Order: sequence, then C-alpha cells, then structure tokens
Amino acid sequence: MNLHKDTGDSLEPCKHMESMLNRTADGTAPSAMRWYALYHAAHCGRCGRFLKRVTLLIGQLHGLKAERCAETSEDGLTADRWESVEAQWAEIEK
Amino acid sequence: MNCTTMEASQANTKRSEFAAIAKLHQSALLRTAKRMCGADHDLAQDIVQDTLVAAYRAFLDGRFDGRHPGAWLTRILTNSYLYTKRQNRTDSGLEGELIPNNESTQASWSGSVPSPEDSLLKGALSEPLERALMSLPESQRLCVVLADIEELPYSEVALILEVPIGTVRSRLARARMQMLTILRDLNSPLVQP
Repeated sequence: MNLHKDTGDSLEPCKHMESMLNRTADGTAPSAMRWYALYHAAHCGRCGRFLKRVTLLIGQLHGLKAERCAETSEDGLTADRWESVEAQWAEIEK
Repeated sequence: MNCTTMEASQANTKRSEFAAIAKLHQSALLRTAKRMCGADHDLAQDIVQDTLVAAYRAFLDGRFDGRHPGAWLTRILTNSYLYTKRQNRTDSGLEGELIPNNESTQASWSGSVPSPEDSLLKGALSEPLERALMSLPESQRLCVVLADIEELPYSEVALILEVPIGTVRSRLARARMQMLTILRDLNSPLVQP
C-alpha cells in the first residue's frame, strides 16, 4: 500500500486513491473498491481526512435538496411569468 | 354534452392536474435553475418558464408516467438550460464545446463583488456551501447540481449532459476537491482539521 507523508493540513488524498475515495463517499463504489478505500483511509491520515470531508460535503449537498423542498412559493416565478406560462398552455391546447 | 364541450372539459381537467404539479415544484425548479445559471436570475426565470411550457406539452402527449414529477421536471429543466445556453452561444457567434471543461473559465469567488441582485438572494447564496458551488465552472456545477443535490443516478446525468459516465465522475471529483478548498478558505467547520 502506498502511503504518502501526512503533513496534517493537506486537503488532497493520495493521487491514486482520489477516485476510489470519491466513489466510496458517494456510495457508488463496488464492494471490493470500497473495502480497499476504507482500509487505505484507516491507515493514511490524509486519505482518512479526505474521505471524512468529502462524505460530509456530499451529505451537506444532499441537504440542499431537502432545504429546497421546504421552501415556500414566495421564491417562485413572478406573477407576470405565470400569466405568460398560462397563456402558452392555452396555446398548446388549441 | 356535445364533443366540443367534452374536449374543453377534459382539457380543463388536464390543465388543473398539471397546474397543481407545476405550482408544487416551481420554487424548487427556480432554485435549481439559479444554481445552474449563477447570478443570472432573469435567465433562471426564463428557463423555468420554458420548462413548464415544454413539460405541459409532454404531459398532454402522455409522456409523463405519473412517477417522480420532481425528477421529471428537473430533467426537462436541464435540457431547457442546455438548449438556451446553446442558442445564446450560437446567437453570439461563439463556437465550441457546449459546456467547456476549461478550468480557466471558473469564476473567482474571493475576488468578486456581489451585485445588488446577489444581495437580494437572501440566505442561501451567502452560505459557504452555495458560494463554493457558484465558484465552480459550469461543467462541474451542473454535475454537482444533478448528481449531488438532485441525486440523479450518474447514468442519467451522463445521458442528460451527453458525456460518458467517467466524465461525470471525474467532473464530480474535481468539483468536490475545489469546493473543499474554498470551504477551508472560508473557515467552514466541514474542513477543519
């Protein structure tokens, strides 16, 4: 296993692990890849930190959708836009 | 009831059914469009408007199976966005890749002065995560919006953006790395040691 020197503040994972760690974090890694990525991350400080951070980031991004779904119609199309949409719907029906 | 009256009644029922779906999802669509368009909020409104018209046409043609209206509308929204961008590029005489994968096109979040329009976007855009998202090049931002926020499968993102699935993965990896770098610079708790 290739482990790089951990300086403690680097955001970057080991180059050859970046794709595997991303796929582990977003849940698209096949099981063998996931196992290897987790094993490596457990022994490599910066890959461990990267996996934790990118997993958190993806969780936060998923959260934006939930936040978006909870919004009210105040943040929607303007009234004149709605009028235009309804006029175009009426055209389509003809 | 004669045929014309019946047809009009059916059209009204269809219209009401679709209007309910549209009204339920319009604010979500607008937020997604804003994330795609960056600071151009008029363009976001245009795209949502186009989306609701195109979606109604598809709805009347029976091209909506009744499941997952949010995902269905998001797909139409993305296509409307890409079509509009393509038209704008054609109109302005620009040629080349639809979504340039050129890292040099990325905006610098740190050096930009927020416009009055930006300031009007209360709350969300000022949050570090939204700022990090807006700093991404368009090609990467679309992948993040569709895959990480809308949670569409990568195969579907690849289909919508007309790129191989490997390109979706590599754009996501680059986008996430850049977002982490920006969040660290903003002292986000997400990237504290």
